[in-house]
Amino acid sequence: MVGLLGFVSVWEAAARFELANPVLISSPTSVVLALKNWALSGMLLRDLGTSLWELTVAFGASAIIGIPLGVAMGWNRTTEYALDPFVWLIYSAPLVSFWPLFIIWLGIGVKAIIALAFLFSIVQVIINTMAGVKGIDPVLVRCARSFNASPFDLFFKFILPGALLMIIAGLRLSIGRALIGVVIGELFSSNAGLGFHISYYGARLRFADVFAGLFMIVLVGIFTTQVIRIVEIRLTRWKV
Amino acid sequence: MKRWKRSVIGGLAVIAFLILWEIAMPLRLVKVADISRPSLVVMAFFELAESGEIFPHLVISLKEFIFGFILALIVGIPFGVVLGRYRLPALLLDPLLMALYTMPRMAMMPLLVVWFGIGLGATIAVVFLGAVFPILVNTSVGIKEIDKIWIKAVHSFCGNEWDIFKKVLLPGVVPQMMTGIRLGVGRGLLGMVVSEMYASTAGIGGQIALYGNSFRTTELIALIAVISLLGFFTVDLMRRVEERVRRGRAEV
Repeated sequence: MVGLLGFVSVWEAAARFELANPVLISSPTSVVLALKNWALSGMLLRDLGTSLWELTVAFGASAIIGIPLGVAMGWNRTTEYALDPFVWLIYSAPLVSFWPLFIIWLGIGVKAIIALAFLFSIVQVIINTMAGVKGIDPVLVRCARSFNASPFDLFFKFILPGALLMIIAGLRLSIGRALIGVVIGELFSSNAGLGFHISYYGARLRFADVFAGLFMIVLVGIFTTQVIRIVEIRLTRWKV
Repeated sequence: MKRWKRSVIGGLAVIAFLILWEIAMPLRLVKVADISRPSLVVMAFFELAESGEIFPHLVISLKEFIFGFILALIVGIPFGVVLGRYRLPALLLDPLLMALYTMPRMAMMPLLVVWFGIGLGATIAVVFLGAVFPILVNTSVGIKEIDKIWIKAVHSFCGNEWDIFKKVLLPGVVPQMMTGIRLGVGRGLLGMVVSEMYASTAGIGGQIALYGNSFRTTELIALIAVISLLGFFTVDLMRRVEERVRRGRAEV
């Protein structure tokens, strides 16, 4: 905490006494002022809403599609081997390079941003789910089978709970990645959202507003991660 | 045997995907969107390579990446070691670092462009920012995870701080550090492309933005493939190195 305060005061002092160009580095007080103006103008709510909406859709879709895919890959060798090259390619490629392609396919706007964020986040979900399912003790599965568990039971009573810790860890990482996707997409082209705010005021050299935008993004990142952490604690209480 | 099966099935899947892609356009399996065809993409790639158009951009991109990444190593590793070893700096800097670590640092793009200038400066800065935090955080976590007994052992043999660093911390942190470096490579590459696309400067990202803006899907996909495969092989290489290092550890 002291470190944070120290940083803020050094920043303020640097701007006040013009150790660095105040236009370029702004200052904490003007950032707070910019935040206030942003909130009062009502734009903050709009930008925040847009970004959160994009984030939710992209993250939700990647969870809904990614978890079954991950389970399939963890469960079945052939599926894993078949999908492995694609997953690793998407995992390690700089995904922004797909951005122009999304614009051609989906048009500039929310859809392309969601697609980018989706691509960013889904791989993490798949990889973690797969690792979680693979990590389940085979003895447990054999035990379930010998008690005549249906595939349905097997899935909901053994695989899902068994892999839960890993899956949620994956979701936590993936929401961060989805946020990166949303911000980059908005930065490149959009007319609303936190990334748009940053890019708009950045181009006008109003850095107090840019810092205000960055601040909000950090808040969103911390908030979403915390939410998932709370869910994680709730869901894994039985595990001790 | 296992290895063999993995590559065969993987290869078959990739081939199946390419065939599906090849016939998707002529058979009108997809509507509206231009998804090009792999054969055209490969031809476009050879055209780009033959005319030599692509190489100067690739060189620029790699130069920016390497500069930024080396800078990230120079800053990230020592800072990580210090933060892992000593409590006071860790307590002071932790909230700040965590805020920066969780923040999508690509969002700082507009600031960096003004601070460091469009092109080389901003790209190096973004690569640095992207890569330095995974390296730093993983290094410091790795240092923290080293068993304190080793440090006590050095103390009881009258070793000084330098001995601790050289004989305990450095060898102990290598596997975790490699994880950080691997993550850093991915983030750095991402930063490189974002920066080049954002400011539409030279380099492979700039070319991608250029072809994207002129709706030349085939060349665009060729470039995306180049950069994706570049990322794939670099990260794969790092993964191999990491595994090697870890295995070496387990044997000791």
